[in-house]
Amino acid sequence: MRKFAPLGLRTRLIAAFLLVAAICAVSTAALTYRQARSAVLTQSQDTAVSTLRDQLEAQALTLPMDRAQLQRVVNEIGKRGKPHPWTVYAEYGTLRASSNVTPTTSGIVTDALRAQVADHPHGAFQRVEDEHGEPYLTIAMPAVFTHHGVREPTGAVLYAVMPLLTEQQTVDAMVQAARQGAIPGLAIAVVPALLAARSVLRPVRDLRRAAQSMGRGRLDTRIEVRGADELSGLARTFNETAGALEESVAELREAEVRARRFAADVSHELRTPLAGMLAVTEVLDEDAERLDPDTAKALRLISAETGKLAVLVEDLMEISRFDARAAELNLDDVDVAEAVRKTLERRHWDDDRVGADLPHGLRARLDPRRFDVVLANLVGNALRHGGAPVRIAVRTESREDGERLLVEVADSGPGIAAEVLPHIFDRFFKADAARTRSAGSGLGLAISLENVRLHGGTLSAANADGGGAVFTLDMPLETTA
Amino acid sequence: MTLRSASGRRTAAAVAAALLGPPLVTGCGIKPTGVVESGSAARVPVAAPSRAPIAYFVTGEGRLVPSPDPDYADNSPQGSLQLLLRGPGSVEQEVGLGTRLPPLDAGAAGGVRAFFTSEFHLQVRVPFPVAAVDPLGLKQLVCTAVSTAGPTVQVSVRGPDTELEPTRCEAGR
Repeated sequence: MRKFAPLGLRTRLIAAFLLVAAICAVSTAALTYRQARSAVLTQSQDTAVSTLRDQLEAQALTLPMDRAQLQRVVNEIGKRGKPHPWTVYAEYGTLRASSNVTPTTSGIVTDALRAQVADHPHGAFQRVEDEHGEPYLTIAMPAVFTHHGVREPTGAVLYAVMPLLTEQQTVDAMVQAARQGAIPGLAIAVVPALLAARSVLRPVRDLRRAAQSMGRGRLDTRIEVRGADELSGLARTFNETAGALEESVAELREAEVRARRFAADVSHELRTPLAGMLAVTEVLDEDAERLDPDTAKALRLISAETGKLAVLVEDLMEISRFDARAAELNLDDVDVAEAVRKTLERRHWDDDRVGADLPHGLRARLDPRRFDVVLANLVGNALRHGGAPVRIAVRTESREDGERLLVEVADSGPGIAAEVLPHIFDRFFKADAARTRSAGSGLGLAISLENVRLHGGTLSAANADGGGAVFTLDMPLETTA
Repeated sequence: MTLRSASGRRTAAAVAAALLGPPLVTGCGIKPTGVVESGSAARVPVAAPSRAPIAYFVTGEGRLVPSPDPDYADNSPQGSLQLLLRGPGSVEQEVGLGTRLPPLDAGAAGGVRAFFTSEFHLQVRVPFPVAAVDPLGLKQLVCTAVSTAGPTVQVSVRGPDTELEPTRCEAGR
């Protein structure tokens, strides 16, 4: 389509209008011209033929004619040319007479015309051109007389030669007029073409703008409907579709909001009973040694699972806060190396399972609690799913959007499978489907990602060249609230 | 789609050519024509009484040309024939008219006879053999003989050798 239609709608409409106008103008002009030309010529010819006949009939002849009589007739008729002056020749036996002193145009009478009147004693004419291409009318008029009620040829034939210069000029003037009339006509045809193009192109342009605006997420975009043609029908359909789309999107959002609020409510409601249960299980844990081994084992299991449930509820509430956009940053100036060391110490990871490469005296502005959560999740995930030793590398980088803080957490495990990599930050995503029970809540990486985003940074996962997964935290060194 | 638009363009061009072609091909200006017959010939008044005898002579191209003589007294067929057999006069010779009949001695012209055998049949006797006479000469004889009687009369020409089939004068046709 593109290859064959490089022209726009406007150009094509104007071209079509011009073509139609040209066809109309040319065919009208041509037909009118032909009719007018034939009318002009017919009138001149008929006038000339009947004039010659009338003039000849007015001459009384004495047969046989002598040269003097023939010359007299020719001179008489030669003066009375109509509609234009003509030259008259007469042929009678071997006699030749001409109304012109120098008979320059007698050669223009064709033998065909002579033969015609000799065989059929009737008036006849023929249009001919001289050697310069000038048109002439040649008329042959045999003289007959009535003898016993029968027309008999006298043997004399008169020829009149009349230039058709006036007719030629008239015809040329008509061609000129047709040409001069057609060009303004074509120019005028451009105006309705432009109007038609405009009336089509404007709705199309509006429609494109509206579609682009909807594509950018503005679902309340509507088009002004003008008139009642097909394009306004299209605009109406567009508006209806946009309305329906907006409605269903709104419904979906509402449903999502309800679902999130439900999760938040559930976790909130679970927190109070869980706090009680935790207190009880702690007391029971202390007394477990005094119970028989089976009961003690069961008791410890309950205690551990309750703890996990409490973590899960805490994580759920955390992620609900992110969903509700209720999470806030509490920014503080911290020493990054100090923050990392504190995180490791607090989780008792200060043995040789975790190695840290920390720059001295690097200060960053961030939320220390959230940074702690992110780092703990990344290291905990590395220890659980990857394998010791885990290496932490902290460095800074200067980019056009400012100074960036980069934290890399690499493990020594088998790495992350390619099909898992895109979903690694999804909620409750399990990399190993068989291992449904794990120490984590399944929300750790999701919460980490949300926390980093809150700082205006990104969190990405990849596999290192030498094996093992690498998580890279990339956030501004100076986070602004 | 691409095919359709391409063929559509071709169709449009063909339509335009079909509509614009004929008027443009017709051309401009005044073009020569063939011979066109237009109305009757000019009927001229001839200065001769309708009963005047007419002798028919022959042009160089072989056409009969009437040569009436209003002053000639004998307006019978025999008188007309004597007028013819005298041969072209000075005016006729100036015009280039001749005769296809054999030349006769001055006195022999009186040897021609013409008489009606019925109302529409004229017998003409000439004093020379008629079998060898040119057809144009016969026409001269026939038309001259009936010039005072009218073209409806049949003429039989008879010479010393033979008598020819009766014919009519075709000068008016």
